[in-house]
Amino acid sequence: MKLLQGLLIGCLATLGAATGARAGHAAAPRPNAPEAKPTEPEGVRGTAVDMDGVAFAPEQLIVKVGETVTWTNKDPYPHNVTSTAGEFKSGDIAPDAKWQFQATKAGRFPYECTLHPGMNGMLIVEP
Amino acid sequence: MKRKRTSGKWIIAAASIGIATAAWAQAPNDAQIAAIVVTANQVDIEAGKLAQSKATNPEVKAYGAMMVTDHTGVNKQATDLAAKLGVKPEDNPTAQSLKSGGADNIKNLKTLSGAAFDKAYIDHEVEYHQAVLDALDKTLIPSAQNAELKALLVKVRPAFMAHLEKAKQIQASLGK
Repeated sequence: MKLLQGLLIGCLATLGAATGARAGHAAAPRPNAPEAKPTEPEGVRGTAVDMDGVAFAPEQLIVKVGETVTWTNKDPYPHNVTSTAGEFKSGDIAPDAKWQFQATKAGRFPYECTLHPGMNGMLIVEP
Repeated sequence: MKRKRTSGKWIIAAASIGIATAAWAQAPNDAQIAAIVVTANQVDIEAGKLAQSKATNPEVKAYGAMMVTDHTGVNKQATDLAAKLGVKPEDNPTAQSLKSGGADNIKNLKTLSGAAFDKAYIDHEVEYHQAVLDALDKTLIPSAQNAELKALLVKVRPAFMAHLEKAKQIQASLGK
């Protein structure tokens, strides 16, 4: 009986040690965690936005003043690109069609497809 | 009184879609799913055409036009994909239920005019898009076997969601 108890305790101790080691291993990178935490990306640099699955991709695009952005409609129905502050307005963009806009003013320009509620994007223009 | 009867019909129409969907002993196959998708779009195109010609509220008229354009686009993609995959849409109880529900809706809408037509059309669009979204989520997307068919259903789902939101917005503005 004592032998059995001893064996059980031994097994449990080994298990505990193993678990502890695993926990220790998992916890090892913890001191670096705050540094590793990425800052929320504000947007994607580029000059192209796809309209696909009733969404703008990337949702937030960063360009420089003077650059021209091209929106391409990859859905089987029309979309539009309409600045909520009235800075730009594409009109209907047919399936497979493109629309271009040259950014001339720095700032953050939220826009939407007025046909499809919830389809929103942001154009960030840097000086 | 008339309104009450009409909304009763919508509930029956929506429920019949639900019953037909729940009645699958086995999941629908891709050919049956293709038939459901094509019929669902066709039904809303027909109602949209009627709204384009009969609606008096400009927002309702524009919504009808958008339904014709969007669902025609989805149907073209669905039929192109079915042809590419060699899938012949196969009739089934859900497609039949959608078809008869659509015919009942058109029949009812044709008896109405002015603000009563606008309200009945938009109310039905809310019910219809909700029912189709439920069918997409509970039956069609989980049952689709072909990866391209499944991807198409996933891709067009947000359009149905946007149509539902837009219909709800118009419904709220009509109620004011």
